[in-house]
Amino acid sequence: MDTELVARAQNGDKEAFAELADAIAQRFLATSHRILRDINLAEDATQQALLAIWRDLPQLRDPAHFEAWSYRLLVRACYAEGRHQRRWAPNLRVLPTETAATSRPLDAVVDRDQLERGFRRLSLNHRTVVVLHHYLDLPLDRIAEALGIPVGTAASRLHYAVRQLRAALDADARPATREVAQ
Amino acid sequence: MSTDRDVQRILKSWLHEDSYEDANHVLNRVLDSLDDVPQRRPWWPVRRFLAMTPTTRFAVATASLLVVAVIGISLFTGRNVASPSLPTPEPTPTATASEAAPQPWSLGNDFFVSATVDVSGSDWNQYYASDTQAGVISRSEDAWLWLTTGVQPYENPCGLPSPPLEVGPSVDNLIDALAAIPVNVSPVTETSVDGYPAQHMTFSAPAAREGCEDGEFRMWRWNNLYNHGVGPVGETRVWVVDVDGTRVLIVLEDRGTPQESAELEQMFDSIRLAPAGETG
Repeated sequence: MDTELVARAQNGDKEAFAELADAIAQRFLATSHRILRDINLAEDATQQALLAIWRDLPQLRDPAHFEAWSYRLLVRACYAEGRHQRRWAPNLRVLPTETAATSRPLDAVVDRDQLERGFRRLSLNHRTVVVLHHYLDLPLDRIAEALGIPVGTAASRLHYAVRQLRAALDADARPATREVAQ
Repeated sequence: MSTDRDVQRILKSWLHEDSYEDANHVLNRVLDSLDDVPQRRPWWPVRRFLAMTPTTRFAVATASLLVVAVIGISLFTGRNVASPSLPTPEPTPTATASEAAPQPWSLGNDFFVSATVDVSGSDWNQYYASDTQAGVISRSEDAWLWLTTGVQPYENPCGLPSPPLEVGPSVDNLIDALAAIPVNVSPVTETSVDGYPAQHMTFSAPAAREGCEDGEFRMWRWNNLYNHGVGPVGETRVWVVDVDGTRVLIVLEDRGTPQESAELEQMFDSIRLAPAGETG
């Protein structure tokens, strides 16, 4: 990111901020969409994050850290939007029956719906680390910096997310399922 | 069985699939509202202060104390250093949320029970999630009141998600299942809500949830909705009410401000219940 542009925006230059926002808005929207799994919430999160960047930019000490700092604001906005979704959005899902069944290789059965279901079962913390790592290709140390957490915590979240997703996909891969009754 | 590597490969591919987000209108909304969002200037450079040498830091701190002392003495003795007549602040009447008249919210004919809540203040949102799930949530989402038919508790709130326990249809079935959740729970007490017999219990926050396998503490799942966890502070109060044979679960979570707490109590006290189809 152009640090001079960041510095100009820090000093209230709206044209500089517009250029900055234009450079990151698409990536922010794509990232928040993947974390939240809802385009409306993602748009709201992106809007809140961009406005928070404008508002708090003067408090960023080192423009060179803009990228990590801006991701932190985006993740905060996603958490704020996601809390709403997490508690109240319907999440009717199919659970595997208790009957024993032989598992099939993952590639043979996994499809978008299964991934979607499995991913939605992850907590926002876990989804975020997965998206930052596997979508934005950020290494763990930069994820840790962006989220303000130790590197070990970032690694642990990624590990548990993959493990949980794997368990969910394996469970979904069993042939017999039933809808859970209320 | 799959391996972690399989999952990571598939996940990466899935996340990179084409999607059709268009950020232009979000960007336009942001740029249009910049004039309404002033930038926050750091008024006190804390970090710079910490980075000063001890001598400079001492000098700055002493100077600040002197300024505060001079102003304090001036005010105490009735003299004013900066201005001979400081305006006396007078209380200005403001319309607070708690002063707004409560608005009755009826959950409608499709809801599983006839219920009305007087919603206090303006900082509350009403959610009608389905014909068995509805409630009122503070804007901060730290306080809420929820009505539903029941929940499915987890045997192990600290474990990875697993199918929760199925619960029978009666009030006692639900009370027994809730009481069995391994978390701090008060004894069950007999009470009433809007004149209907009810049983009440309170769940207190666990001391820590860091030990949980994935950092999440899940007490129950709402009727096939999201998991509910007890946060690091606060408590969750539940009432299981028998409305002429219809089981109603009322959940109050209160981690909000004192004003939110007071309004939450008012709203709980205002609940009017009746069997579906009748007026509460």
